[in-house]
Amino acid sequence: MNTESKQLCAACRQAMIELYADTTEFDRLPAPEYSAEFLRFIETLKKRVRHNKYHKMTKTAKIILIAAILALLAAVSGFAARELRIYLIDHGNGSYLDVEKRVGTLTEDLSLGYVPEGFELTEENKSLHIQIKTYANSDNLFFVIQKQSSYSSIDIDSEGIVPKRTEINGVQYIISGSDNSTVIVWIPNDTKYLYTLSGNVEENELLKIAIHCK
Amino acid sequence: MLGFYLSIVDTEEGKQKFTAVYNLWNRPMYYAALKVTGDTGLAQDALQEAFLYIAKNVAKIDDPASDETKAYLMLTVSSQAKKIMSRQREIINSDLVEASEELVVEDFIFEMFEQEDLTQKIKALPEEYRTPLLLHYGQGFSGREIARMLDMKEPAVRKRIERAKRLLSQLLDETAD
Repeated sequence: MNTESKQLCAACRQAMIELYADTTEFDRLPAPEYSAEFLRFIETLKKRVRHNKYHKMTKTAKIILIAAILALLAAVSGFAARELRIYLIDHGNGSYLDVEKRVGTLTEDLSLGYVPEGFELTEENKSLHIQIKTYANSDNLFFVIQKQSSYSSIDIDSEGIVPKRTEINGVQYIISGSDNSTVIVWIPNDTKYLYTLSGNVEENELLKIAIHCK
Repeated sequence: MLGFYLSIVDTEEGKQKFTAVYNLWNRPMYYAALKVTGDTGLAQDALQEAFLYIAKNVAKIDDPASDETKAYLMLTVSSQAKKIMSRQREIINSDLVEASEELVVEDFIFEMFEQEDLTQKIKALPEEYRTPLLLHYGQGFSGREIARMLDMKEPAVRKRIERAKRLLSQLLDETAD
């Protein structure tokens, strides 16, 4: 794979500045009179633009995260043509209940009670409803933990592969994934938050991280 | 599902950055577009397209007031203006059909040259090759993103970048001789 030349990157940035940054020919011109439609468009953009921190995630991490989420969806769907639904709460009587849609704000920070040795926090993002932390180590292993206060139920009635479920301390963890990545989803008993944990770390380690999340 | 998660990552930083960029640079951008299109309506269309790309990629902007940001904005709006004019003239952006002898130019060869020398040679490249090169190496856009911005196919973008690098290395060799 061609490793990009730092010298070439720097030269390109400098060339851009020398070619395009000089706008003195326009400085004395009057302010443009924009159409009402254009001004409405700009106002809409101003309200909707997002500083998407996912953009700064490494390409590898993005691919793994997307693959993990797709693997979860594929695992619970098999080849069923019916609409797929995932029940996150099993009340133990053989029937599955939807989790009610919840809209709320994050009032408590995401806190990890256990982080595997060698892993460091590399990225963090927080808003009113969701907090995301990314950890990685020097061996290109990584995991992403996500805590959100607003969510809708996802319910499943699947054929084929069914995700694994394990119950620990009264909390159900749904585990799925492929050879290269694992996704764990759970809602603690107080149902205030939905957690999603994904990464290319060993499944047992991911589960240990999940159990110790606060 | 990923889109749902991304849609609720919502900070004020992006909005403030975009607003600053718009307030600082909309005027020169408009006139740069007008210079290309010669029509106020088309210039606004180009400006609209440019700000849409900028809004989608606001995370790439570090300092709204820097020369680097200004250069990126002016390049973006110029590209959009030219794209609109191409559509107006119904010019089809033909994919470069080049002989299969094209070899990838390894980037490490550029490490041997002085940055100033590289900069001047990059400026001398034909615009059709220079623009994708600048967007990729100068701003970090992927081939796919550049293809969307310039209304080209992704393989054509990659070919233009490789062609730009080949021309660049030829220009540098000529100077060295």
